[in-house]
Amino acid sequence: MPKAVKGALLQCDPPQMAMVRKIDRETNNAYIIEEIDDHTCLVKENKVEEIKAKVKELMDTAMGVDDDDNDDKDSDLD
Amino acid sequence: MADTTLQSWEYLETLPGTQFYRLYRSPASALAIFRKRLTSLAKTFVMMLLYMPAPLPVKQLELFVKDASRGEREYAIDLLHRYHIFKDVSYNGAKAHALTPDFARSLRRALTGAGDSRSFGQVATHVPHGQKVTIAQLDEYARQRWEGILGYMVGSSAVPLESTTTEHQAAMQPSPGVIELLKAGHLIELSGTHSRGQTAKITKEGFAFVLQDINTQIWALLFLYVDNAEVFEMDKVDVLSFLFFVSSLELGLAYSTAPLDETQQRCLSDLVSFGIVYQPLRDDGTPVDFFYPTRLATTLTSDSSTTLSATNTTIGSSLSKSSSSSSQSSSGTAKGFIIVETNYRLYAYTSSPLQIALLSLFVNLRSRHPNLVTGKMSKSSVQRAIQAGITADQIISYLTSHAHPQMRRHAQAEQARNSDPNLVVPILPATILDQIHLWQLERDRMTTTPGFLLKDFPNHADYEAPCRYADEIGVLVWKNDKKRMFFVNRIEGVRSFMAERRANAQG
Repeated sequence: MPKAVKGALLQCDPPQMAMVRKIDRETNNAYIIEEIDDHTCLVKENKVEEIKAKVKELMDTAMGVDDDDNDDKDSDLD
Repeated sequence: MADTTLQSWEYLETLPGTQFYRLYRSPASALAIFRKRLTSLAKTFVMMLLYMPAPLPVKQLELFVKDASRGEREYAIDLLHRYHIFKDVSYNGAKAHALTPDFARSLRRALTGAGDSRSFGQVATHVPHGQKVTIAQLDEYARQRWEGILGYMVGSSAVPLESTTTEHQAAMQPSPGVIELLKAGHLIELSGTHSRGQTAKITKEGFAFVLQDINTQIWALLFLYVDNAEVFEMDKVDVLSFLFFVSSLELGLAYSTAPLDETQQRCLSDLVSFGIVYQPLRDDGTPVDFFYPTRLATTLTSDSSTTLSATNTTIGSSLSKSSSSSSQSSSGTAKGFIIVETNYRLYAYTSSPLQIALLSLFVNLRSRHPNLVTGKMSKSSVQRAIQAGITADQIISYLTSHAHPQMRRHAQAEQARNSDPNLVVPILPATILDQIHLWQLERDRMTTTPGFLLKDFPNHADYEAPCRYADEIGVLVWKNDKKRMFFVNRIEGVRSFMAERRANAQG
């Protein structure tokens, strides 16, 4: 019998999916309803913004805050 | 990134059917929905059924459309159901489509001009000679009002230079009601107290708002207005049908306010502050008993892109034109003023605070001259904008539509040299286009779509049919054939399709 599950479809690349899973594991499955594959999973609709913010946070710490050496300081003159 | 808070036409679809029936009692509303929201095929269906005495069996309707275009047909029918224009009836024992009676009656009236004059307004006959208003004056009025609203939203977060403030006075400060509405829609945030003067700060949604084209902006604001109507003790449906009524009026004619009821009178005074209608004031400050719709009103429900772009040029481009008279003389046309180089440098020939504030959303502005600002786009400046809710496509379309004529000429020359006529040379340098998209991707690697996941199909055929159907009506977001799962953003159509399929299989 086919079933319909309400939620939000989250699509991203495998590295980000790993982060999503990690966050989900650490919070006792507060976000994911169903893991589908490395690119997709179904998350709770009301938690979408929360998980996005958490992944961003995790990514920022993982990548190191390299905002300082950005190209805003333009070396060549106008 | 989808702006979830900004109201749009989808909002209308959430109204219950009974509200729709009330709305359709006014011919102007029926015509407006018909013009603005239906696809060409859906319009054809409605026209076909409009004067038919009996419902049209589903089977016959299917014959009208070639099999290759099944997708469009399904989409059109789904659309008509969503707007409560079609209803399913049974006719001679078969399933059939019929128009809902209120809609059909109103549309027939709208087309033939029958019914009382209230449906399309009463032209005021007694306009004093000295108070006649020309179309040019109306355009100017609408521009001032609209520019005032946008300028208030954007300009408020940047400090304009001394010299430009005097030029910019042509734009009016929006009325308190409008500011209240912007705040309610979360487009701006107010800080400070009344006594010390409030300062407005534009929000993420506000950024996305100001980069839209004018028609989208007006509707966004009007839907906000409708949504907040109940706060002012007005009925949503009454307000909506009044908006549709105003949008069906003719530019340059004066209409009498006498047939309007109390709600409509109140609406009218609010529309005046948006610049959608113009109502002259008597010497003692009370409004006169007639009003003029401006171009903003008359193009509200227009479905032709030419009239829409006419609004954008007469009202919109004046935003850039208004204070960049120097660029006008140098370039010949008023529209384009931005030059982007392949090294991400950007030169904008403008002195309008609104344009400069917009540019500063995604450009690191470096220097400012009397008629020119220069700056450079960088990864961090673009990503800052993306974080604020602006998409790469919005940035690109803004830059393209305001590109300097020199850039257009360059692209045309390039195009002429091109051996392949099908290859369109973009106005912006290709490296810039790619890089802006790449910068967005780096930050925005995750997409989420609310909706429904359908799974646990017992066999492939049971999976295949609804999945294909979902694709045809345009609700399919994602599917995985191996796992027999698919994801849709609306379930109603698919659900009834599956129920029908099951019924057919059993019976």
